[in-house]
Amino acid sequence: MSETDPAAAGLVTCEIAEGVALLRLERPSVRNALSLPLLVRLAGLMVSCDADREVRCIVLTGGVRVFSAGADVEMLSGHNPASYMVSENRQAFDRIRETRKPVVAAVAGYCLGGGCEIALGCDFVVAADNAVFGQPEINLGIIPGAGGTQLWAPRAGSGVQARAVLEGGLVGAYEARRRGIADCVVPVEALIPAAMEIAAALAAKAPLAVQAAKSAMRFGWRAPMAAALELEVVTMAGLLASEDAAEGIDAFLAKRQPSFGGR
Amino acid sequence: MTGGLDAPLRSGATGWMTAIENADVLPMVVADGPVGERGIALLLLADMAWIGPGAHIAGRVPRLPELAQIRLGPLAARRFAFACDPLDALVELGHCRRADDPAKAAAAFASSWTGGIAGRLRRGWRAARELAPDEAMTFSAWMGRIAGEIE
Repeated sequence: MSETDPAAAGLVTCEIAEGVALLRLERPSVRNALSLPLLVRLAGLMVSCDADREVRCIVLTGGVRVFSAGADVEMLSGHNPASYMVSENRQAFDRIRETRKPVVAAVAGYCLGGGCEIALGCDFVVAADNAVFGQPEINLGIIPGAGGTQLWAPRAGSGVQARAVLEGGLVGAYEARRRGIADCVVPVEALIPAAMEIAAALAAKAPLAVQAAKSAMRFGWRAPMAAALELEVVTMAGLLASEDAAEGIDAFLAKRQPSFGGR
Repeated sequence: MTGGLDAPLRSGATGWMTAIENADVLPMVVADGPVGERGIALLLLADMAWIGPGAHIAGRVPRLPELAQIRLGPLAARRFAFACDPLDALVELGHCRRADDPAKAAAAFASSWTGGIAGRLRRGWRAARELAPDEAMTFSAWMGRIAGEIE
């Protein structure tokens, strides 16, 4: 499936302004269910944003009614073990999660299944006061297969992880905040402005350092602590040679705001 | 829900109590006749409550210390707990009003609270209850900004 398929272009829209890309899922008639064309389009946009020097931060949202009710169930049917492993939808989830630039998820309404896995793969989760998170896959006789068995625990601990995946229940915005699933709760009417405000603050930071920090944090997901700490030192050493680091230190000493060029 | 205000609280009560606590509409309660655990719980959960002339405690005096503290705050919850009559205590605390025709009084009050303001209040109260104080203030600030933009 092509990422530039014109028919898929409307499934996820992208607006870029002042260093922030706002990606919006646009399948409201089916509560932004994740079809294969939508996933491929979203993954393609994430990759494009990664490559675009004008983009320093990404906001991902489904709007103020629903983030995503999850994957189209028909997308999961018809697979055998071999075909699922190499399927486009599985790879799309990986590419979305592997975005190098910081991603702010702006979540309203249902954020279930694959939608929840995408949101929890982001760096910040801004929840509207009507947001509802959940991994109901167990009720279909399957498991969350795009990160849902892993992504709750770093934020909320193994108990919350186990309840989410094994019970398949729903977690409201405020409980999500208490558990660490959401990083803040805002009125639903303010969801997008609040997420954009966080993104603008991130976009004003040194781009190389932000991406390096994210990369180092994500390395900890797949490596032992010792290896992750070692990578952190190597990353820091590399950043010290950057123009951004020189500018940041100069600005601090001169008591002025830094201007980072991403070099 | 079935049964009267004098019914006991059962384990399933958590569901409707939470639903009332988190509703976006103003819960108003009218109590007349015998009042037990369920009635006291409903009165505590109400944003406005009216007690009729026939209201009286039936059976064991309900104290509901957890719900009372959540709804009334720690000091008022103690005054409520130590009162001889919880209904009198709720009136003295200003939480309930006595009325000869409580249903009529409630209907008159409710008619003046139509529109979005009730929902706005409920969402703000919930944010204050559920979030850390600084985050609740941020929530409030966003609400204010939205209201300003709408106006």
